[in-house]
Amino acid sequence: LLADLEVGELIAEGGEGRVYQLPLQPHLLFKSYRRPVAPWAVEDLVSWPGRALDAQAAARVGASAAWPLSTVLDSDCSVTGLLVPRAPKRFSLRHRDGATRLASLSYLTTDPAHRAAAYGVRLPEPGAVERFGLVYALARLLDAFENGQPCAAHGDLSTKNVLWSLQRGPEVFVIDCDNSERFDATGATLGDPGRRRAMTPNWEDPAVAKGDNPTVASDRYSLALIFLRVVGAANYPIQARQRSGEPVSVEFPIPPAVISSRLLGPGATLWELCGRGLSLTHPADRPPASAWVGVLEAVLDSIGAAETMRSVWANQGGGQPSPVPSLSESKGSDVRIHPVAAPPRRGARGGRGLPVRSWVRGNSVGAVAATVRTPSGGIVRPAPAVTPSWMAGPVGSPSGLGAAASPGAAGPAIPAPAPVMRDVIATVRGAVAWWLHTHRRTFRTLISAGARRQRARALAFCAAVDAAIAVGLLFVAAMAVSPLLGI
Amino acid sequence: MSTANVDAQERYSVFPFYVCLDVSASMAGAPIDAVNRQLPVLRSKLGEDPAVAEVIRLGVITFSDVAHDLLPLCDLSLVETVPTVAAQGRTSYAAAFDHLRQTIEDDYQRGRAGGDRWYRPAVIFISDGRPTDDTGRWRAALDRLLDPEWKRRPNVLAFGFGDADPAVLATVTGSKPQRAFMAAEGSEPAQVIPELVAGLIQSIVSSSASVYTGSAILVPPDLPSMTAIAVDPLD
Repeated sequence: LLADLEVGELIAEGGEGRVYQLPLQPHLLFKSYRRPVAPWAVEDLVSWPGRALDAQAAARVGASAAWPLSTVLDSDCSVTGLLVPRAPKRFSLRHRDGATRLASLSYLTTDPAHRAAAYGVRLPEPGAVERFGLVYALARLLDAFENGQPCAAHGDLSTKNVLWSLQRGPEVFVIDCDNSERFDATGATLGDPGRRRAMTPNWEDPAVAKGDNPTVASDRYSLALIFLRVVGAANYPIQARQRSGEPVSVEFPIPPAVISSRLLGPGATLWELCGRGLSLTHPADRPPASAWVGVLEAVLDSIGAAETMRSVWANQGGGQPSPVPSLSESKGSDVRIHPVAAPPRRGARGGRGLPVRSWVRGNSVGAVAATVRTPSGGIVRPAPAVTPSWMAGPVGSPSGLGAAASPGAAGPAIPAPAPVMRDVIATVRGAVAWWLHTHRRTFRTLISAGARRQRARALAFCAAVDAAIAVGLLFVAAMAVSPLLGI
Repeated sequence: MSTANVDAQERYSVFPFYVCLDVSASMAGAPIDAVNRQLPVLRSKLGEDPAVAEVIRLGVITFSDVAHDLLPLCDLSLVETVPTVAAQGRTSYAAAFDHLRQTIEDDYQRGRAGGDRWYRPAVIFISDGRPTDDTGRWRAALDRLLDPEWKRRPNVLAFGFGDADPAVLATVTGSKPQRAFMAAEGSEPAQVIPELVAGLIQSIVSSSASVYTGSAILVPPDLPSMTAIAVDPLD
């Protein structure tokens, strides 16, 4: 019931509703609807993971998506909103100036050197294994969506809705799932047919006509587009070209060392998957997420990144190797992806005698000078004028899933603190936040014109909490001092 | 049939915004203090979102007796600080318009040389007073800025408060009165400026989203009597 919730600060506002913090449940958010909604449709949405998925798929959705947990009713028992999981803190980035922002895909879709110069955040280089890992984690989530009985589709997998983290290995957290749709075997929606869902410009499926809703095929388009932009660390603005009716040819730079590889060179299944996934003319021909899962596993395996794959499984509640998919016969996609040898390294250290490093592991900062203009005046931060180094060096030798990762591989791009320390820090932070909140609330109660009994109760509670903390601290201090006094 | 090639270097067209700010003596005190507090807000709000910074370029020009580049046209995510401004001198609209025309042309040519494609630039003209220069002079400068023969002529939104003249502001927008906005009579500039900057942030963020649709529009701040303006890409 809405009356049972203490609703905190408004943090976002959209066409469909408002999103509020819940000070007493910091891991949740309250999404309040602007307009009345069909209660059966919302119940259907909330109950979907429990009835449509097996335990492992449900765990995957629980770990990687903000699927609504329960409905919120107002005093006359009509649905007024939803409780949804809040993205854990690791799905945000701290800028150089201290500002913290949700880690949206936009950070990953341009040269990491530009983002480093702008925000002081370190990001994996184009083609880095972490980037493959993020797409792999997303493909596994969408595989769970697609294999549900009934299946579900998110419908707007855009920069702001797909958050990512590398702290515990590649992870995604898909938000705005309350707008997702369930479909029956014929592809008809099981939700409210009158509801309209728009996709975010620049991330939309061009096959969805204006006024129509996205489908499972739209999520498949988004997955292919996200692969292109995230792994390639580039914008690839293709939708306008597609709409003009022209076939589109995408040049995707890969290290010269792998241009002849079976899994990444020209003709590899990966590129066919991506091209078909982006097809405007044959949306039904777009490969399912399971095909991406299988192909990305093969790629990760071949570049010695089985460890990355396992961390994705661990973060999504478990997993095992998937079969390599056999794709249906292509109807001929209007989009073709051509892997091209990335240009040789230029810049500070010259073009020859490159430092040898695994191309998929690079995390040093580079830049394409042309993307950053530095106007005159000393107030604009210049971007580093060095091109990326990710093209340099050999690819790790193929290893089985049971084999160790290739030796010499660097650690993850953004090092994470040890898990125990992280938990301790999180607990202390949580406790301090709770203490501050309790005292603020008491203060507000005291200065308000409320009932005397309520004020007295709040004051007593606060005093009891502080007394307990004081006793605890005294005990700890006594324990620390007693050996010194010989007690 | 021809094939469209897309490569990793391809970028979105950029949408340039020029904030043209009156810093004449009448702005001294609370109004200029408000400006100095709000410009960093504008910088951080627009610069910290990579999706906005990617397609928006912003420059700040100040004018009184003469006009200066306070912040050259740039990607706000790469800006560390915005210099502060001091109020002095008279209100030469002619200096502002001449400087804008020259700056826009120079920036366009420089951007083009670097591979940038532009949408028609937008000028956010903010003044608290009437022009102190000769009417013929500032009107001639305005005509040069809005010359239909000049391909880079900007769309102008004008905002006035204090002693600004609504009729003059309407003229500055190219006699398109729905693009001019005047604060309520008697309102405090120190309050108007933060509201205006908040409106500008919302306007620029919304305009940046439209760039990704491939057909940009200049979304005016959510203020009464203002409508969206379609923006054409430049050659």
